[in-house]
Amino acid sequence: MGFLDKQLNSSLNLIFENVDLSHAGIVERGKYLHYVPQSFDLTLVSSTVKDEVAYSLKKKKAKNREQRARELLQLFSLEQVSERDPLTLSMGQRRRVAMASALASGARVIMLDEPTSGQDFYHRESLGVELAKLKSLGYSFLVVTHDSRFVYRHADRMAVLDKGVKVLEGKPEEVFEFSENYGIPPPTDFLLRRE
Amino acid sequence: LAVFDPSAIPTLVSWLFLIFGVTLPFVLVLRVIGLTGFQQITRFEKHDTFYYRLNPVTKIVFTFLITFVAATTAWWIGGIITVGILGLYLTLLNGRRKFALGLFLVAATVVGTVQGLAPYTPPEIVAQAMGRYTPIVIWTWPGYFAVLGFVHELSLQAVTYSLQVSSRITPVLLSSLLLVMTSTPSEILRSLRKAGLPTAFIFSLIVAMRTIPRVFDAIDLSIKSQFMRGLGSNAPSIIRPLYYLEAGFASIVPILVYMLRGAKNTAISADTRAFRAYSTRTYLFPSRFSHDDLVMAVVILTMLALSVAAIYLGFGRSVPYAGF
Repeated sequence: MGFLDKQLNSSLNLIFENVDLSHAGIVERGKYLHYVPQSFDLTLVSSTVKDEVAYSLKKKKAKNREQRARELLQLFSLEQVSERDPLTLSMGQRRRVAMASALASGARVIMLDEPTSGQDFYHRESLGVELAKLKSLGYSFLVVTHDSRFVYRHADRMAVLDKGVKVLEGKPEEVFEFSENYGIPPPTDFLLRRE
Repeated sequence: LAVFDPSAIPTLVSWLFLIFGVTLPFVLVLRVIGLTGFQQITRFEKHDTFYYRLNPVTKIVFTFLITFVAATTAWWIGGIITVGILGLYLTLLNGRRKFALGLFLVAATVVGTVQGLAPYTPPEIVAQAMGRYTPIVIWTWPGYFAVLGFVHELSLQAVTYSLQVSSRITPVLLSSLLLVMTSTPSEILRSLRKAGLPTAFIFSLIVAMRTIPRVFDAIDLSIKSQFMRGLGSNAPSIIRPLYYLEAGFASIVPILVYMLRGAKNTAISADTRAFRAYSTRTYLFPSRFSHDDLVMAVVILTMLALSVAAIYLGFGRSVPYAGF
């Protein structure tokens, strides 16, 4: 995901709410979109969960930042661990801290890079439920993943990229009809439902 | 209203040099090539030109030879080799970009070496390098800078000497990066094993090789994520480097934890594959010496012969040395 690079690969454009961010710097892009990388531990730079969630609010000198941070801690069920060092939490909790911190930046669109990697079915499903809850609050998520089952169960729309070129796009149940042509076997859930 | 005293300018400049001089090469490198540039120049990318096809053992021998020649011959031989290796960069994947990155790294290394060496080099050392000389003073530091190890008067010869020293560093830096950019860690591991080096030694080397680009990657990601979350969002761009420093400091702990977790995973992965479980364990892998390796062997032997000849002809004394 080359979102962090100022010069985007190929001829792609990054336009959000009629603002062209294709050549914008990272600070400018951060006002509209946010990015939670696969190695999200690297984004956890504060010594407590509370400070980590409030990082963006503090840097942007946001009003009511303590209240907003409390809301986010509550939203992600992190109140109990708010005084702990984020790096000492479990993987699922660390990911939630990273996501809470991303939402605190004020961005309404969050990009997630391989959010289900190294997680068991229970945690993948928990993530799906969390994303659905946040979607109902007006947030959108763009997920880059190789986990076709997660996409099938939780995504509204999906696109298949082949060597950087978009080859399929649509609802998951539409796309998985043809995805095998591009080396992506449909998930078992899809096959069972089709039968 | 205080009147500005022009005689204070040299002291002010000296202090500016002291505070910002050492960080200047780092700031320049970060501004011009960025951490992404570092990643590009320390990471393997698949391609199929001459240097990629060479056996890693040949490349390692070449790197050692460069180190030997640069350290034992006159400074300008190191300079010529630097230019030659930069030429090899043009043959790599995205050669022009890598050439530019290499060129800039050389420039930063030269500036950094001169700044780090010239003010601290006493006249006796310069005299060993230059023979008898009359110092041409280009700058006078405040007397109290001596506490920091500064030689009171900076001479042109001390700067020249530092430039000569830098020409011994740049070819080694470039040839090492050339090895890293054109060989996978596992290729090097296999070749060195075949050459009979102890596995423990090779494994340490490979872990270091794999770690360098990962560290740059991690620093880049951690710093950018802080900027994306609003760090320095309302600040003028001229003071952005200070925010980079702040972000860099803040990223130390998460990067250390991330790397330690990675190290733990590597150890578990190695143990579960019974790495070094038996001293008699054998491996099957092809390690061929091709026609290209033969060509390179001829180049290496020729360079070795030329360097021996250069030393014999009096162009071979190391630092400090006499004459050009």
